[in-house]
Amino acid sequence: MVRDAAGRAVRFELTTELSDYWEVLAGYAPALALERVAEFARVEEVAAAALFGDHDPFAATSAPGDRAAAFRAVMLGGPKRKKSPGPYNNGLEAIVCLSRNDNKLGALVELAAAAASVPQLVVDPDSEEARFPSGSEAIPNLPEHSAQDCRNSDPVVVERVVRLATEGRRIRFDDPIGIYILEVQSSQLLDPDGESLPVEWFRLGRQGPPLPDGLPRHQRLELEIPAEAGFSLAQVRAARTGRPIEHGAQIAELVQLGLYLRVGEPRAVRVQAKPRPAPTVAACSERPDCALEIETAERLEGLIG
Amino acid sequence: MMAAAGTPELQPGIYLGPGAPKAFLLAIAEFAPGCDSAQAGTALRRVWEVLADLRRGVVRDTEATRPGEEGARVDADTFDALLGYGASLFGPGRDLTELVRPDLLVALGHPGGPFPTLRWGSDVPPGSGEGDVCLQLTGRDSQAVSRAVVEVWKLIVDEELPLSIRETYEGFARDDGRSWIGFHDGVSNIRRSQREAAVRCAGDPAWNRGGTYLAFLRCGVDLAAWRRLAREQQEILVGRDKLTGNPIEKVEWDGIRLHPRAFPSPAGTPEERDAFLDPPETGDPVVEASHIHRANQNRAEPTTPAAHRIFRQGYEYLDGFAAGEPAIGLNFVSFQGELEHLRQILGLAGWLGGVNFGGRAQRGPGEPEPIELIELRAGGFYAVPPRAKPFPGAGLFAAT
Repeated sequence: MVRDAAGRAVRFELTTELSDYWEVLAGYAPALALERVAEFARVEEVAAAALFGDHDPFAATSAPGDRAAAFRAVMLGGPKRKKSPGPYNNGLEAIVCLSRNDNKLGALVELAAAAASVPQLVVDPDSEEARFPSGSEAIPNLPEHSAQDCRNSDPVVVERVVRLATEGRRIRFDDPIGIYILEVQSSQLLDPDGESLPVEWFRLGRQGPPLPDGLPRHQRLELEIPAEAGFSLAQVRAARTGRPIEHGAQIAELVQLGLYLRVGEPRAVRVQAKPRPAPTVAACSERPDCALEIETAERLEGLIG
Repeated sequence: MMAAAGTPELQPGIYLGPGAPKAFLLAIAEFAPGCDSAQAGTALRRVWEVLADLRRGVVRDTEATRPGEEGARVDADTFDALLGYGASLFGPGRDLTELVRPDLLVALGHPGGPFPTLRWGSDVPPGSGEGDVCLQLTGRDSQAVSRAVVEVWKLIVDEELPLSIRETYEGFARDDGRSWIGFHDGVSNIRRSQREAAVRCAGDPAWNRGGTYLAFLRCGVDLAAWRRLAREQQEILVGRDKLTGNPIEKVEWDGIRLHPRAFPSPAGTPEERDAFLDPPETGDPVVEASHIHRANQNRAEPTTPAAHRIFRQGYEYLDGFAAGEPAIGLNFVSFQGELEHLRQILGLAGWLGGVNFGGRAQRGPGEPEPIELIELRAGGFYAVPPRAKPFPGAGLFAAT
């Protein structure tokens, strides 16, 4: 959320771009990376140091790997991503790409691939019939660290992909792979008169040339109230709570993200999944993986402030 | 299903296990202007006491009043009562409670909305279905639940309680497992082992921890319009074969019309049996846009926020005839740990926010005309605290 000097929300920005793309862009086309970041920050230009720190990306001795590493250090919170991302990727000046370690391309591939490689059936405790497992039931059966419960994404992806795999379908990633903004519930944000904000105020961007399937593949969303509207984003209310918009999360929860897979017909691949007893899924508050996820989210929130 | 030790018990009237009573009545009540918190709490305590007596078979009007006679009793245990609290209870200036309103416990809004494709009927008065309090009565038959709400009314009158019953909505369970539109209903409801987790409020706000939220949407169905559709078109919109209930696997276009092709009836393999309840992903955009796919996007655990799992417990209704047609529909009742989930289900375009009931917004050749099958006749959100003494949610009110 971009705020004015008084701390009031003036613009909302959301990105689903993977850092892997930006590391390559910074490594091989640093000038273009700076140009794009300046666009996002709505400034004429951005100093190289803002993205690359002490490293001069235009020095004759600078190699792509050096530039990518420098970009990682400044914009993604270091190699282990434990520090706060720089101001051009933490919302203070701009937001460029996802910075969490588990939001990388590798993590996404590992998640889907792990789920696709372990067909599973469980025996329902009530009906005593075999059925497809839920995400939380399937995750413990996947290779360690390939998926994490207690997130919005992993259990849903795992549940869907495990089922597809168990049905014996061929599965591949859509091209181009990415996390895309599928839709925004613009009607859920109300102006001071109680009317929904116009859809055109929600700017979706960072989509390549549309593909024949017509599916949305946007990776960036911006919401800004035009000056002529006569009110600010801080005066917008969330229909679902009646409360004014103060935090980005109030808008982010109206955005649905997705990952596209290409899937073939069932029984194309012969699979055998022996039904096993459905594991008990404990409440969130009783699970160490959930505690870890909450701790990570809170830490990142603290870092970003 | 039993709650874990130490976990507050859900109120009666939420049937997570097999079977549910046949009759439904939802009463919407309001506290009188000027009523203070203590008076409101006292009124509800008395209502709860009278309902408890009635559940034991005790009717106030037929209690013994003369020496030597015995009070006349009615059958015991013929109904369950559940108490919920609406957004207006927390309204500024009401002074009914000092506790905080749950963030998503809001009035549904009128005349716009409340959901992108589920709109109010044009003749529905504002606030229909919303009030300070809702009393859900579910029971053996219509008599059991009707008697209960009338006994509450008698109490209010006799004791001049600062409470009035403004509206009631009745309904019944069908014994054929089908809805008014003739198709199987409730087949894809959340599986039993997930229900407890789906309905429990984790504790935001703390006063409703261990309770749940009730969403009531009285959905009028335009049966005449529905019956004008050919069976094939109905099946495309629903996503199931009308007779067998088997999910539609694909649609085939013969140049003139679309033909839905259903999966064969469940055979031997676990996958096939599960697919009846939970149809597989489909690459067919027409099938993907059907009602059952829109309403059930995944089978993740309720602990996964993005899964939007809720437990549905609806009752059909017939509200007489209007202009020569039956005024029928569904009392959609759902219980969920967070109202966010229903908001998302009815808000997201890929779920039920994109079209009224089912089908594609941008239809292709042979696909059914967009149909406004459902309109909202009444509705409200209610917080449903766990069981407590002297009545559920007593902590909301000042002690007397």
